[in-house]
Amino acid sequence: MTNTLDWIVKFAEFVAEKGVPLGMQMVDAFADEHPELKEPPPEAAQKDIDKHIDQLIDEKFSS
Amino acid sequence: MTDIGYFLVFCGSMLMASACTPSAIAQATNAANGVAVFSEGAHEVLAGSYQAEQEVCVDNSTTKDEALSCVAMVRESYAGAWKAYRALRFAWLGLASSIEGARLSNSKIDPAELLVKVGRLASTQEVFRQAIQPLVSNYDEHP
Repeated sequence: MTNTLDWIVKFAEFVAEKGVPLGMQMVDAFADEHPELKEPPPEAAQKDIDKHIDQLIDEKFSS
Repeated sequence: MTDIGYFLVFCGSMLMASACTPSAIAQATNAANGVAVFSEGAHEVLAGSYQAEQEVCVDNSTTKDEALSCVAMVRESYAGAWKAYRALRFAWLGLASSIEGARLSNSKIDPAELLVKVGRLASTQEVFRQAIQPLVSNYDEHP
């Protein structure tokens, strides 16, 4: 799996190489050549942010 | 029928018509990747807004109890959006596992299964979009 930016860069290169107008056929052709799936971000962000905020509170009010 | 209803019927028809061709996996991949692109941007904005609102709580509070109470309210107001995001990701995993399974076994995707999973993904994406809209409408990523 690749991240979104990689996919966009590859798609831009693909369009530049093929030199044909954009359209669903182009997207299908790209997907055939690059069948990798891009994955949505993991769910960890919420817990990581909560942990970060809890630490901020502890630091500010520890004294 | 709503716009999203017509869209789902259109997607379903396209998938049914193309499910017996080799590009069915490619089309399912396109659907999954489209949601992944949306999710990445929306998740970034959601996480940024979620963190910013809690930092404001910490900055503006004069006591620990006040900060904890303010932070708890922010977390509660975002709980539905995070739940919707988990549902969206779960639906994406369902479609992705079908795509990867078909690819690994070199078999075609069952069109009925694909239709259900793409429909579920589209509906969870809409629920997530509606859940985050009021929360992030005033969020400026680069103040």
